[in-house]
Order: sequence, then structure tokens, then C-alpha cells
Amino acid sequence: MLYCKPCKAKIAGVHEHCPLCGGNLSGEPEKERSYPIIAPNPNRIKRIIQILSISAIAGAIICVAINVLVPAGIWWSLFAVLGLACGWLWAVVGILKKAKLLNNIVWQCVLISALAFLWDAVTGWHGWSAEFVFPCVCTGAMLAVIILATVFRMPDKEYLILLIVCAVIGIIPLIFLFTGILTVILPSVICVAVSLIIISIQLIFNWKALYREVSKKLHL
Amino acid sequence: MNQSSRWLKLDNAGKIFPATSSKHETGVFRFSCELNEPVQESVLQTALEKTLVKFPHFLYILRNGLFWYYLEPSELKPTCHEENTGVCSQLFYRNQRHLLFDVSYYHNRINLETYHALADGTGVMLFLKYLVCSYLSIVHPDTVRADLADEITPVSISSSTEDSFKKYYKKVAKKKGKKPRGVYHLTGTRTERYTVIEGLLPCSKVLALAKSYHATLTVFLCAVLILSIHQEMLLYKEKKPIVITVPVNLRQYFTSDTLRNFFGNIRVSYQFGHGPDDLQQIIRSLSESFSRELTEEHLSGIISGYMAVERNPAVKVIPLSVKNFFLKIARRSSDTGETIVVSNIGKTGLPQQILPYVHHMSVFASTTKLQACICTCGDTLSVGFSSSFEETDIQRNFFRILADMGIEPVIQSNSAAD
Repeated sequence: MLYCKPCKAKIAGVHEHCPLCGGNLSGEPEKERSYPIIAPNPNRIKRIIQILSISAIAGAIICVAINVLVPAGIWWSLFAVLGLACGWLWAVVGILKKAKLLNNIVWQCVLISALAFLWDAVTGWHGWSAEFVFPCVCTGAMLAVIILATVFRMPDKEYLILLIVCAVIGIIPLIFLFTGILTVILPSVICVAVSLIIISIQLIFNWKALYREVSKKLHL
Repeated sequence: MNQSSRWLKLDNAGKIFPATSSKHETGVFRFSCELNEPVQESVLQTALEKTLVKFPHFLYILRNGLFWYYLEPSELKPTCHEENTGVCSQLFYRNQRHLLFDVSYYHNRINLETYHALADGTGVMLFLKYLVCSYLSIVHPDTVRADLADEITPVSISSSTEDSFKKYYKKVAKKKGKKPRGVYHLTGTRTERYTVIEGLLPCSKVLALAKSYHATLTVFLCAVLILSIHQEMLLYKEKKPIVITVPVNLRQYFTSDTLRNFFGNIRVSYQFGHGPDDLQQIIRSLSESFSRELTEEHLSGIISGYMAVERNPAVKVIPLSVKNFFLKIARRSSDTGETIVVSNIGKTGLPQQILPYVHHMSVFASTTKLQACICTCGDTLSVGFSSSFEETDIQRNFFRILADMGIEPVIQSNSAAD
């Protein structure tokens, strides 16, 4: 075993210097280290997000620069910047939530709808976000949750609450239908109908599990 | 009740960890047991599976609700592996499904790392003892009986997951204790991973020395630690009080079989510049503080203080992510009131039959600055420092003071300096 004279301490394992004082050691080191050497662990997710961020920022700056250099009469670059920002947000949320697939679907459903409303509003309200994007994304999310839960044979605690969240969001187009701001109503009607059917099925066949999941998620 | 419906609310102490833990303050602590022989992976895996049958609540994972996190059984299966991460590195990731404990080995050592929301030192020590007994009974069937492990844990599974904070909560009017102001803080160069330095000391010698000062082991070691911190204090900061946070196992004062969290923090402080400031005086002052703090009445007040926050309706209805933010601030402001944490696990109480196979046991905990964990196995007293700083001056002073008193340590460290 190694020995540090000033510290009057025996040092186990393999060391070049005293772990206490950094001084020189006498004696023979042991055969084995006390602790393994840990290679630095590169954080992949962090690196991907860094690359995404710099690509988005550089892209935005280049667009504005080109817009300034080549006068086109309109500030088209602002739309490019907004688009890049939306794409960046969408990708980052997707990456951060990638381990929880169903969670990710609900997040994406909310995010895509919100971004669609934003775009529609910015480009002078044409109503496409409320008429097509929102109901289609909601219906798609509900179907995706059901399909994935069936394929992976998930226990109900894994998917039930997320399905219900999607279904509740899916009822929102009902408000648009009643206020009469929609001209095309087909996607919204389908979305609301699917949501109500899903909620009814769960209430009738699965209300115990549903009650348990809700009380778990909402316990105070 | 079927398996999937047996979810658990987090206990009071467990609630703070998911909100505040991060890559740098992981909320993980490690108990390890060094044997006198190399560890065999396949046997360890068998022993681990056997142990989990007795401790099913270690298979719970943390999930988030709208207002609080909760624990839920999972189907994840743990595998033991060679040690490949830093000591007390992260176990809880907000966006991942991950078991809250990890079993690894390195040469002769078995490590058990646990996330604090799941259990405290007492629960984890039982788990590790069961694991080690099961392991040794497979490797040495002639000398270690197979049922030895079962004698360690007479606890029934239902009472092992009880929330004892709730059980012993009663409303006590909050007494305003005097909190020391301008507490001395340790500073240094932060490292990527915790630096751990462990000193193995002959327990009987240290106890005899403590007795010669009429002090308990904890008080004696805290006093030595205060002296070693003092040696590093700049002159103009010398008057700042040094505050030691000591987690107390509440099971010693309130009967409980829970394997989940049931501890409370007390704080003792010492201020230099009033008298001779020698070891004798520090010990006298600390002994007084400990006996003042460690009364059932005072501890009951601590439980009540913790629970009052959790039971506050305004706190309850704040959504989880907002709550996390405020809990983080609360934790940080509480951390500014302490210099260092000293946690004495006490005697490990391994069965006599397996002592010949065990070299020593050690404990480390995650920290924002510096933490010392003390535990005794046979006649080996282990003092394990985990630190988020590169500097090791306080640890050096600590062991040098003891060496000057005739107690020379054996040092184990993961220090990356070489």
C-alpha cells in the first residue's frame, strides 16, 4: 500500500500523488484501482440541440442578410425567421420528449395546433388552422395513441390518461362549430364525434381504471 | 388490490428531491460494501432478484401528476453491472423512465445507489444487507445459511411503505428558533463529478478518544471537522458561524417500520472568537446544541414544520412545474444556512456470520458543497467525504488532525488528480 508521510495516511489503490495533499507517495501501489476511470460521457441530446440551435440562428441571420442585400419590396425574411423558430421549437420538444412516445404525441398535438393558429393569425386569418389543422391533428393524435397502445400492448396506466387528454382537446372544435366561424365543417365534426365516442367507450368499459388514473394524476 | 393500482404518494421528505435534483445535485446516495473477495456478476444478479422479492417498492418509478409526483410500480428489470459512472451520479431524469436505484460492482465492492425520493439511509441499508447476505449465502453455502438474510428484515411489506411523516404529524405552534446569520460557506473550483475521499479508521480507537473528551462519536467528529474548516477560513471571515446540518433518523424517536424517508435535519453551529476555541470547547458547545435539538418535542416540531408546507392548500393547488420552481428556490435558500452536512449512519449491524467476508462498508451522498457520511462496520469506521469541489484541504486537515492524535487512516479516493 502507498503511504503519504506528511498526512500519515496509507493510500489504497493506484495513485501518483496523495489524494489529500497532492504530495509524493512512498511504497508500492496496489494492483487494482479503488475506483474505475470514467470516460467523459458526451451528452448527445445536448449536442444535437446545440447543432439545431446554431443552424436555426445562422439560417435566420442569413435570410435577413439576403433580404437586406437583395431588395424584394417585402420583408419575406421575417416569415423565414418565424418558420425557423417554429421548426426549432417543434424539433427540440420532440427530442426532449423522445423517450416517452405517447407523451410526445400529445405535446406535438398541442404544439402543432398552437403554431398553426399563430401562422394563420400572422398571415391574416383565413381560418385554415381551425378548419383543417386543429381537428386533423387531434384526430390523428387520438388514433396514434390507440394504435401504439394496441401494438405495444401497453397497460392502461401507460396510455389511458393521455388518450383522455387528447379526446378532451378534441372536443374543443365543438366551440368553433357553435360560434360559426368555420366554413368547412367536415374535419371538425369527425374530430368531435371520434372524441365523444372514445370518452364514452372509456367511461362505459373502463371507468374504474379511468377513475384510478385521474385520481392519481390529480391527487393533492 | 392488483399490482397496477398500488401507487404511492411521495412522502414529505421525498417531495423535495424530484423538484430540486439535477445533474450537479443528483439527490442520489451510495451505500457500498467491500468484500474480501472479487464480486461475481451472475451471483450478484441472482441475489439482487431474490432481494427485490422482499423489497418490491424499490421497483417503483417516479411519474408526474398535475400537482405532485407519485410512485408507481414498473415492469423494468434491474441488471447489475460493473461500475461505470461517477459516484452518486444522476438516476432520475424527468423525461425518461428509469428505475430509481442501481446496483453495480467493482473488483471487491458492491455498490447500491438510490434516489432519495425512494428511501432513506435506513431503508437502503436494510436492502444492501439483505443483498450482501443473499450473495454470500450463494457463494459460501457452507458457512452462511440461506435464511440468514430473512432474519434481517422482519418488516411486513405494507408497513415498509408507510408515510411516517403523516403518521406522526400533529400541529405544533412554530417556535422561532434563532438562526445564525451570515453563515460561512465553502468555495472552490467545481468539478464535473463528485470527488470522494474515504478514510477508514479503527473504530475502537476513535471511540476511546471521543470518550476521553466525554463526547459521542458524532459530536467528536463534527468538532474535528469544525477545526479543519477553521484552518481554511480567511481571517476576515473567521467570525462567521460554521453550521453543520445533521440528518436525524426519526425512527429512533418515533416507532416506525417504514423503508421510505423518515428523517429530519437539525442544525448545530459554532462561532470562533469566543474563548480558547480548542477541541474541548467546541465539543462542549456542540454537545449542548445536540442535546437541545434532539428532544422528542423539538423533532416533533420539525415534522410539523415540514408537513405544514405540504398541507398548505395554496401550495397543493399550484401545478407541478410551477411548484418545482418554487421548491428549487426554497431549497437554495435553505442551503445558504449551512456550511456542511454530516450524516452518521451508525452501526451497520451485519450478522456475525458474514463479518469475516466483509472488509468494510461505506456511504456517500450527493451534495452541493461538501458532505461527510459516517458508518461503522465491525471495527472499521468509514468517514466518506463527497465534494463538488476540486480542493481537498478540509478533508486533508480532518484526517491530519486525527493522525496527529494517533489515528492513522487508510484513504480510498476516486480523485482524478493522477
